[in-house]
Amino acid sequence: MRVGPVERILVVAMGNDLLGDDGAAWCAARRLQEQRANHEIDFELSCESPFTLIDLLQDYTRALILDTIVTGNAPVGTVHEFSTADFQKVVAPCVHFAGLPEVLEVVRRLDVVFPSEIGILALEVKPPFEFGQRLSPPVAGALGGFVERARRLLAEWIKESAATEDLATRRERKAVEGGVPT
Amino acid sequence: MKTSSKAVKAKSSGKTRRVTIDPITRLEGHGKIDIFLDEAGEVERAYFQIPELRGFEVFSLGRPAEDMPQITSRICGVCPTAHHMASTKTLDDLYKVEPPRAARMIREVVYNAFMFEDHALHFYILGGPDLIVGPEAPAAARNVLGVIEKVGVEIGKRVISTRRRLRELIAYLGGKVIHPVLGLPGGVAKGMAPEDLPKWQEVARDAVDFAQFTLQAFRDLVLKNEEYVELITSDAYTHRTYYMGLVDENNVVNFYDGQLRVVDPNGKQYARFPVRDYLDYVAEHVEPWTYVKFCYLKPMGWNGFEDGEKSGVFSVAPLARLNAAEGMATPLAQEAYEEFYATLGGKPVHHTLANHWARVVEMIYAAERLKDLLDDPEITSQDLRAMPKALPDVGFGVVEAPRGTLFHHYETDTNGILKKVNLIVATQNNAARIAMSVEKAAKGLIHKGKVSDGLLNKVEMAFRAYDPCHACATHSLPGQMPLIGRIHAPTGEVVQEIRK
Repeated sequence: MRVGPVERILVVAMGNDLLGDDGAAWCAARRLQEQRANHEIDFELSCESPFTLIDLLQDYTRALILDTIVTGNAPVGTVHEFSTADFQKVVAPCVHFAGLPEVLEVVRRLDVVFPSEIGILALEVKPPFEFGQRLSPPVAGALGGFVERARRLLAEWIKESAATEDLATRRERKAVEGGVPT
Repeated sequence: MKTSSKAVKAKSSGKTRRVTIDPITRLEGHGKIDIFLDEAGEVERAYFQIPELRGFEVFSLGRPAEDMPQITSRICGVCPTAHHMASTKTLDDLYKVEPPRAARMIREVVYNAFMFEDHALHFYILGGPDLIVGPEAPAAARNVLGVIEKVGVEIGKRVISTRRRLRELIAYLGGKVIHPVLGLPGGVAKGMAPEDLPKWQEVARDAVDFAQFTLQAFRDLVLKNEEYVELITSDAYTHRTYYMGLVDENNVVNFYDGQLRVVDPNGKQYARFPVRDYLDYVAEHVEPWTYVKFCYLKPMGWNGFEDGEKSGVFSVAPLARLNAAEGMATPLAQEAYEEFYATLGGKPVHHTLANHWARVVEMIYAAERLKDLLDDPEITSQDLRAMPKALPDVGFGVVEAPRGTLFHHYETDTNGILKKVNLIVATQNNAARIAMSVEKAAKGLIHKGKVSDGLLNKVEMAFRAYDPCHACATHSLPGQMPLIGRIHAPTGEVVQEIRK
């Protein structure tokens, strides 16, 4: 990842494209990847247990997690936005349920190099328990909005990164011109 | 107390009260435990329910069989490597082709690395709260943070780094998990480059050290605590069932290949058969209260959720594998195996919570096996593929997944297009015993209608020891799994509610 001198951004899509709407985050990530073909952001599609986020996110400075969710409290196609502050409980009883809260607690405790900022966008879907490779019409219709939310967030990060890079470059130049060690 | 109405299904019928422990996860309807109390507040029945993904067979039909190692690896977010390997072996059988020795070794390298990292994850991060932190510890400490507190930050770091390096080894040979490219009928797609070997040999040596450290940690933190040992051996967590596992020609544990061996509750061999005969030994029973099909020993017949020699219920997973075998294939694992049985009173061990200890014994075996394979001069051979020459028809494959025996069975036309698919996953093999374990724990621990947080945890421990595989758990959201218990009076009124 080469957005700035130190900035490394990852987009990770969780889900399973063999389970119908469960693959919506993958579709979104693929569209984003096409749109951002000339930008330096890494993309990962994961159908593994969320605990593997601990491996995927290490060494990045920012990460955007795309996922699907069943809250039952919003229409299918609604885009939910979360932050890591929304996931603080650590209660998973087995590997299959271990997720972001466990990952965050472990990295915090073990001082693992982890993104300082993690954005989370999730698309509301119906429970996807049946195998299939197509998105349902409501989810397919909502995909554009989901991608756009992700695109805007990434654009903000890249802008901030560029500004940080400019500032760092100016400071470095000034230090060199002034003969001050950096 | 805040409660999600989706989390709790409370009903009352007649004189029975119902308690539901319902994990709220991203997917509604994930595994839950229903406990029915009678008027005296004693447990009448307890049901453990796991939802299943539906339609896989239909989804697969009409596809080329060669796609199955990729497709099936996406069935489970925790065991993709197990499905990939079982499927690859099924293709070997389907096309009647035997992989060269080096290809088989590469497969075993990947498989043992996977078994080690999965067992380490469960032992330290998820199972740890029960035995390392302790079942009586406050709820706030009974989690991964409590484990780190007990074992120390440096060990926690070592768990993470060891797992990561083993996953790098798997990726080096097999590519990404979502599109694994390792297994081909008759071989593998990639071998080991001689210049890369030293790095992976070092990883294997470290894994052996770490496995031995883990056993010592188990001795220090669990076996030296009399209360924990009493809990492990208590009747609430004990079932006398049959046990099944893969063994090699010497009847010792092998995760990758061999024959299925079944021992009875006394440890006597009941059956030994190749995977091709699995339908002669394994049958499925359906109950009206769950989609899960309960596997049982076909020759015994279904005799209900019962212990003993007359029951057809059997178990798979680490404890079952050790019980079904006569030993381990590697020296340090064999020592650990002997200590296991000497401490717990000889073979077979029937204590469900001993699965955690058995998992550590298997970690040692996986690490030693990995080291042996990587130290074999043939590991860098590039003779990695035997080309299939026979027309396909029927193929069977089996591996020992971390959670137990995994069967794949495909039937195709002569073009290799799938006409029939049958998979039996580990949790299905274990489902009857898990249901029995949950009910027994509930009956032993819940009395006079009183259900505390600690009691719910102990009931939950009964199924956690198996680390049951729930349908599709590949998501980060909502990122929590509270357990909710509700007790209803015979009238249906909620008289107590507990949320963890």
